Amino acid sequence: MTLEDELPRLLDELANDHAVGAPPLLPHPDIARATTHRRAPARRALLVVAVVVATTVVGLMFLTDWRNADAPSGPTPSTPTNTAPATMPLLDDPDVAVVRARAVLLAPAAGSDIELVAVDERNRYNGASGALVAPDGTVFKIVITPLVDEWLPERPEWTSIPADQRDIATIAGYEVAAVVDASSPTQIYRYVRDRCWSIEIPSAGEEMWSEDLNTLLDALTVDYDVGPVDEAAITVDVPVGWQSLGGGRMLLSWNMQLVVNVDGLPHTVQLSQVPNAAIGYVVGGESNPRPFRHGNAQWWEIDSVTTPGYTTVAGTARTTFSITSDLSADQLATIVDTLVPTPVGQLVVTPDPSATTEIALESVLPSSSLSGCGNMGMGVDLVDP
Amino acid sequence: LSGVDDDVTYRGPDLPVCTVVGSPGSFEAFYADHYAETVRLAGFLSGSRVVAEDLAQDAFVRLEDKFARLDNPAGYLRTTVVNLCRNRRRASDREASRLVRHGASPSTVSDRAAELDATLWRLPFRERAVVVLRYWLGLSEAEIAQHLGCRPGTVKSRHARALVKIRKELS
Repeated sequence: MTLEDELPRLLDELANDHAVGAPPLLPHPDIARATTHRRAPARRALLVVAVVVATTVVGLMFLTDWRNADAPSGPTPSTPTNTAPATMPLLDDPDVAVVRARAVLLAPAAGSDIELVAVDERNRYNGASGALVAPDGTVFKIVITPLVDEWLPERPEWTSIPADQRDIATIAGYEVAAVVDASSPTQIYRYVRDRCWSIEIPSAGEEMWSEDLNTLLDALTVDYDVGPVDEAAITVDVPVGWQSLGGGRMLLSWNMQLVVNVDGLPHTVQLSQVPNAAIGYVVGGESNPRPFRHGNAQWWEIDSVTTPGYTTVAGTARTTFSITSDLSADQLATIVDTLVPTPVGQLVVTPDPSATTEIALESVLPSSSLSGCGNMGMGVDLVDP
Repeated sequence: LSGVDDDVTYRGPDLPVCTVVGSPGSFEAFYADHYAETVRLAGFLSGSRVVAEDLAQDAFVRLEDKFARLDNPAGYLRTTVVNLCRNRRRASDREASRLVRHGASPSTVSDRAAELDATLWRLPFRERAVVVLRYWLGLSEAEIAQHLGCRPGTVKSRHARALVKIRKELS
C-alpha cells in the first residue's frame, strides 16, 4: 500500500479520535459584529502608525542607496566613500544581536601586510534575496522588500526613462516592467507588479524578455502573510536544468575596505561578507558570473563592464563573501586565502583618514504594513525539484 | 437566540449546547451538518483540540451573515477555518518552541496514526494544510489552492515536499 493510499485512512483514524460534542449555540450575529467593530478603531490606528513608520523607514532606506549595497560586483571607487551614518534607530530585533554576537568574519591576520582600514555593518532584515542560474549560464537574482510605492510604471519617473530602455509585458500571469540600468546598460531590472512586495529581478547580458525569464516567472509563486520561519513570500520551484544558488532573508552584512600591496603598489579592495548566507545572496552584477574551482569549493568570477579591469570574486569560505578590486580573480582568491576567521568584536581597524568606520545601520522592516500582506517569512525559497 | 427557531432542542438549561436541526437549506441545518468536521479540520490545522472548537465557532459566526448569498458556503467555511488557524498559529509562533500541544493527544489510535499526527505537527502550516485538505477532505489541487490563496502549482510542490517528509518520518 502506498503512502498516498494510506493517508486517508490514518487521517480518518485521527479525526475519529477527536471527539466532538454537539454544536453549541452560536453568539447572536449582532453581538459578534459589535465585538468586531469595537476593535476596529484600534486596528485602524495601528495600521496608520505602521504605514507612517514604514514609509519613513523605507524612504530613508532608499536614501542610503540600499540596492547598491547588495550588488557587490559593481566597480569599486579607488578612493573610499563615506557611508551615511545611521539616521534611523535600529528597531529591536533580538536576532540582530544574536547574529552580530556570533558573527565570525574573514579579516587580515595579526602582522599581515594587508590593512583593514574601514568596516561598516549593514542590517538588511528588511528584505530577502536569492539567485538562480539558467541553463545558458545567465544568473537571475530575485530581491524582495516590502512594497511602499506604486509599481514603477505607475510612478512619474517611468516616463523619464527613454522609451527604448523600458517596456511592460505580461508573463506567466504577472505584469512585469523591464528597465535597462542607466549606469550599467548590461543589467536589466524587472519589476513584478504585486500588491505587497517589491519584487525585483535583475540579470546581466540578457534581453529584456526571454524564454528563461518566462520559465522563471512561471515557476515563481507569491504568498502573503506567511509564517516567519518555515515559509517564504516568494517560492520558486527550480526549473529542470536550472541551478539554485540559494536565497533567504537578508541578514547582517559587513563591508570591509582593505589595502593590499601588490608588486609594490597599494590596491583598495572591497570585501563584503554575510555569515551563513547562501551564495545566491552575493552573486550577481553587470556580467554573468563564471564558476571556477578553488580548492574543493566552487567560487564565481564576475567582470565589471562599466569599469574594465575590475573583477569580483564571490564564494563561501567560512563566510559568504564577495571581493572586488582592480586585481585578477587569482589575486583576489589569494587575498581571501590569507584572511583568517575573526569574531566581529575583535576586528582591528587601522583608520584611513579618507575612509569611514561608521556603522551604517540600514532600516529594519521585517514585514509589509499593507493590509493582508503580513510577514515575508524566509523571503525567498528556492525549491529544488 | 436569533436564527434559532423551533427546530432547536436544548439538552438542558445548564448546558450551552443544543441539537440544531433546522430546516433543509437553512444555516442551522448547515451548522449541524458541518460542525464536527469543521472542529476536526481546525484541530488538524491548529494542532490544538482545545482551541479547535473556538476556531470552528468563530468560522461559523463569520459565515452566518453571508450564508444566504453564498453559492458554496462549505468552501467559504473551509477557507475561513484555514485563515483563522493560520492567524492563530502566527500569533503564537514566538512562543511555539516553548509550547507543547494543547489538549488530549491521540490516545486510541494506532502507532502509525500517532506517528502521522506527530509528523503533521512538524510540517510547515501550508504543507500540513495541503495534506489534510487533500487526503482527509479529498479536495482537488485547484480547490486547495483556492482555500490557501495560492496557485495550483504551489499546492503541487507543497504536496510533494510534504509527502517526502511524511514518507521519511513514517518509514
